[in-house]
Amino acid sequence: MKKTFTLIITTFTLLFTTRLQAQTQPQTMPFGKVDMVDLQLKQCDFEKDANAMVLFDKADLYYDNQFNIVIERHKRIKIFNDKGKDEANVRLVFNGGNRTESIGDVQVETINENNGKPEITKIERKLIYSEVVDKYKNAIVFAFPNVKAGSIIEYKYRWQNTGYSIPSWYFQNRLPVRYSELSTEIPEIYIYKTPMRVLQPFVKNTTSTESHSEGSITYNSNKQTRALANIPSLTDEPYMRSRHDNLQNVEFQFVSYRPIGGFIQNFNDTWDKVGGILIEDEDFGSQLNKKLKGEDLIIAKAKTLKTDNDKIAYIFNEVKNRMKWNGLDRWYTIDGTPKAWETQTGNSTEINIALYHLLKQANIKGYPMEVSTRENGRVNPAIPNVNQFNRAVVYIPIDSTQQYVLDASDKYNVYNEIPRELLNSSGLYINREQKKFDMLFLQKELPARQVVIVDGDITPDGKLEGKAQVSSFSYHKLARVEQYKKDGEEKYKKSLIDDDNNLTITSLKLDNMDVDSLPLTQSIGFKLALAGSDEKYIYVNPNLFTTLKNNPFLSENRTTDIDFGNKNSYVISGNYKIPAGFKVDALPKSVNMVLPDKSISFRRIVAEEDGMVKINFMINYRKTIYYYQSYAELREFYKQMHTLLNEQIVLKKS
Amino acid sequence: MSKNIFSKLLTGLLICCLHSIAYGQSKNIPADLYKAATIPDSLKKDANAVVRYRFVDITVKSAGRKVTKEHSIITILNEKAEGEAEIELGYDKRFRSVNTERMLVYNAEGKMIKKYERSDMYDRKAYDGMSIITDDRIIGMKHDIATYPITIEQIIETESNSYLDLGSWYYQYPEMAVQNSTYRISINPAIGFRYKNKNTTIAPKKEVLNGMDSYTWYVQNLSAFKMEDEALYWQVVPKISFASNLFEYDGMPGDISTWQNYGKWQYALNTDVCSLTPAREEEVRAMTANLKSDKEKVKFLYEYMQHNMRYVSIQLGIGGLKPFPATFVDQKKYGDCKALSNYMCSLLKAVKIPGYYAIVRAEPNQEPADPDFPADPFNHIIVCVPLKGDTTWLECTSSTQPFGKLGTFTENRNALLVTEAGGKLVSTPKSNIDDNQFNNEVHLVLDADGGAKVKMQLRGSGGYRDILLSLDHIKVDEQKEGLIKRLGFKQPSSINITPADDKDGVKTIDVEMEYDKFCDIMAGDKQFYRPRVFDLWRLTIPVLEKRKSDYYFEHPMKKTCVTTIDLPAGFEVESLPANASLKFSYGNYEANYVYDAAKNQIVATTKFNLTNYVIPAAKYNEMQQYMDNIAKAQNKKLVIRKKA
Repeated sequence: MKKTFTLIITTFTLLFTTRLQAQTQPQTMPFGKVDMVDLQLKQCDFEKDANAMVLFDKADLYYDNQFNIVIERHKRIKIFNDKGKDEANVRLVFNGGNRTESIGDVQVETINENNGKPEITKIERKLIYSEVVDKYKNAIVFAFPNVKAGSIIEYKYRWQNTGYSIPSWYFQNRLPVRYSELSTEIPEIYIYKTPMRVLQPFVKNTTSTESHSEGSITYNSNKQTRALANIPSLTDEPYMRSRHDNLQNVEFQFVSYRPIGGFIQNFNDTWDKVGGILIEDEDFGSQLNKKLKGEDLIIAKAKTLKTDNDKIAYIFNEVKNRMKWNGLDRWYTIDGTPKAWETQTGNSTEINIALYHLLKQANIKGYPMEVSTRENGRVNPAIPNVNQFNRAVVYIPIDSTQQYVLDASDKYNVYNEIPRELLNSSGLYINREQKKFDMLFLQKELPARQVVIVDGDITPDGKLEGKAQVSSFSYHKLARVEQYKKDGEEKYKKSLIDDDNNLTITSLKLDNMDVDSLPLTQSIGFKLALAGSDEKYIYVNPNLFTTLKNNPFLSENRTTDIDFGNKNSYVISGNYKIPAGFKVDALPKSVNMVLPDKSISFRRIVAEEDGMVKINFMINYRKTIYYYQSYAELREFYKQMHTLLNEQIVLKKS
Repeated sequence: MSKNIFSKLLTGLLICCLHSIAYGQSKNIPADLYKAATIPDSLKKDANAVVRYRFVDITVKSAGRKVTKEHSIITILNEKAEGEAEIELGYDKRFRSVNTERMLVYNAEGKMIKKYERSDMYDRKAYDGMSIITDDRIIGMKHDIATYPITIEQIIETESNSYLDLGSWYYQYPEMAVQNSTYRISINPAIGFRYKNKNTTIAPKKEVLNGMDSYTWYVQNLSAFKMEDEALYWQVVPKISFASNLFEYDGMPGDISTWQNYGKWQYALNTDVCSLTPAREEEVRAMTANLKSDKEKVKFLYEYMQHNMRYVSIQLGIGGLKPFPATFVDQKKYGDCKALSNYMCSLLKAVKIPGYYAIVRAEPNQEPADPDFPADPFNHIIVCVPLKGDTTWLECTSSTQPFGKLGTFTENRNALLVTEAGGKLVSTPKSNIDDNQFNNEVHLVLDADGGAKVKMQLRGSGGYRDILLSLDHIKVDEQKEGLIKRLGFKQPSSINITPADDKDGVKTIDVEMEYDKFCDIMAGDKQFYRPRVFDLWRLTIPVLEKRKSDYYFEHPMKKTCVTTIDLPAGFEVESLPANASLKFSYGNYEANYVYDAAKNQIVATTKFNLTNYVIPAAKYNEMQQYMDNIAKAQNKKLVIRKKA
């Protein structure tokens, strides 16, 4: 009850301040005209620790008489201190390679206060550099002159695009923004969908219709202006999804084209239609059945295997080991699968379509599936558009509870785990024969388990000697195998010691590293000098060989949701033999702790019996996503959990 | 018109001829060198790649004109060396060009599986991580490796019309074995050739061919070696440096046979850019008119420069070597290291204090220039002001560096002063233990429930000032997280950081923290504590059988911490941690605990000194033990109990 009440209050205050702001301050101003209040501004009132802020960022988007997309952009930044001066180096990158995009009419100026008056320093044309970045990209680069703490810097330019694609507008960025406005005027012949991520009320959101005539043709344009005010900056936080998923933005997805007096041509308005386009696409659907050089050998060998599982595993590993991912992610093929197969290198879609093809030839029922990696952003199922995807994988339904999602582009993936970077987003699978296309949410039902069992003898001179067995399942296994294979044994051992020279690894054996159906087991022999020990006491910290040493949630505030990807489950079990002549002086208590919504539980059970101290920890996660609003609770839970994990056993000389 | 076509045809023909010659060479290479199986086992140990064959052939017909041909065959054994399957060649509009770039790929059996030609190349800008714009570009090609081992053959030809020196040959990098490698320089004897060895004793074979002197070095069957932690590359990796006494850069001839002559060239390059306008000079004089000593004036002008100018790196054409005019910096209020240093010199010139543009190699612990081998191993500019008996050095790219302190970026090496009389190689200051201090006072008030309140003041100079200063300009949340991680605090319930003074090179911050549970563990009437908020020294280093190279820290240091611990009322000390006094050849650690029963207070004093930042390899084991002992001493606990 109380919580709801506070929440309402905050929202109200927020609305109220926004109003107030809107009344007292001009939102945008013409180029070169400046308010003295802004020149004298000392800090950003809604983010006091900012080194600089965007006073306004304004874009007017329209179509010119050749139906090119034009954006006129005007951005004004206030610099508060020396650290903020880096904002005065600007780099505008555009796709100029095939002349689809261009940037012109660049104007740049610095405004300083001089004896109570604004003093404007313009930049000479020759100091606005034009750069060819590579085959695809160009850049306009400039440094503002005469910049000091307190300066206002502003620039404007005209961006033009001959294609259909309208860039996303980000209201939010790494600097706080006082006012951000996007006006669009789009001829009604072009239909765009505009998915948005906006978490605060618009201070302006207006629509109208304008009529145009070009010679004998008349048509209407739809005008819309959207604006937000006082938008906080967004910094990267642990376990956040991509920046694109989190920044407040509006996207433009081209849906259909309605020529004047003609019929509507729809592109992407249902997933069925997207699926249909994919099947027809030269660089996707047409690739699915292409023969691969030498495939007969693999298929023949696969057919000799008994179960489907064996066949899937065999073919997956053949493709994974043969192909090297070239680092590119596209929803389509570039060189085509046969060429990629022959050169043994390709983008992720080429590799996985080859995989799909081989599985199909071996009579495995699977489907190509378009997905989006975590870095690329979560797929929005409500907006059918092929451009949301950046990779194709293979989807194999096993039964009502089990499915495989195969991605052979990463050497450390296995056939029976959904790649971690695809979790908690959706994929579109394509059933070509039945012309059926469906979205599937990719998630890992069961928690990934990690079990650590330590058996040790404490010696009277303050040492612990013993064995540890660490069993890692699912993603824990994949992470460790990858680390071991990349770093080699020597470095891997070092990581087990974690810079603690008191710990010596006397033996290490890893089992089932390459058996996909079994957990990785590590048998570790170790010696640990219990460094805190003195003549009277011996101290043992039971947080041994776990990956739970550092708390990732130290920050006091959080602005983005937390997505762990998968659930986790940990069991840590320690059995410590007390040496003769010593007795327990202090033991951690047995405790239970759960998050208020019960989604994480922590349990510690401690007992002393038969000259042994037994200490067990069990940590279970039931959720993978936590909204930023619940961060305070999660943070406190983590803080306590890390304290409890590191509480020591104290033995005293009797 | 027709003539043009003819000449184009002719060039085309010529190129074809050259190419067939290049291919002809590979026919002389034994086929075995393309096969992975023929690598001797001794060369596979610790190696990620093996240079099977390399022939670098450099021709310098006249000063500034250098043509480099390279033909190499490298077998890559694992993915750590996958970079060997990529060629990246730098070029720019004016000075450097790439004539040939070709790569052939062979499988383990030595069968060619792929051929990359000019059409497979990418062309992009080069990134240096600092500059907003440069002329530098890269053309390159890359092979994605599916299976190992794999053998890559590269044929490259590059050309340049400008150089200062002739660079170096690194014939073996760590974790790379070399089966055969040859380096040949053919040079016009008139321009004076020199070379110098470092970490190697190999010698060339000298011949005279067609009026050119030719020097050929050859190495074979070198097993791979590994770098040790915190060892320096330049102390370990074999290198031969080359220079010609006469050089040319952007059409400007120069002489680098002596430091003095090289300095003259740079001096001439700067002459037309090193003065302010007379009106501005007058203003500068007015600004400093009522300052008495030269030193005060230098300090004033340095701080004026720091406060008004900002670092922006722009490197175009000769602008890579020649500073932007002082008048440009004066107007635009920005520049790179050259421009800002040159501007600083112009300010000094206005007040008639000599200040020298000083060329240096920057980055902590970089190799000093070899006094006996004049060349250009430099990448940064600073300013040297030879005040009487008080030479003062200025780092002009930092807006926060204290006046007269260079810091680890350019200490402990040498710099070439560019004076009216030419170049002069002089030492930069040695790092000093007193310049790098971290002194802390902590007041820790324990409460009966195991919680605590902490108030502390942290004061840092030198490297520690930099750390504390870096907190000033990040977001409050990041400051807190950063400090907790950096100093290893136990996670507090609340923390507040208040920046205090930054005066005379010492930065101070105040920190307050609260803990609902500071105590490690409580049992019955006893409480066990780590008797401090953070450890003064956290590094431990691995045990090694025999360390081969010297171990480097960034600087020597002096650290202290005085922690006053108020025990909760009704508690007394049950067991005080033992005092520690540890020594090693280059420092000492001390911890003292004194209990004042009347105040019910413990004063813990900890000191850590490191007198030398270079630890000779022979002392590694001693240091290893010493640091383990510090870790042990710091682990000792304070036990308190309720009074009976």
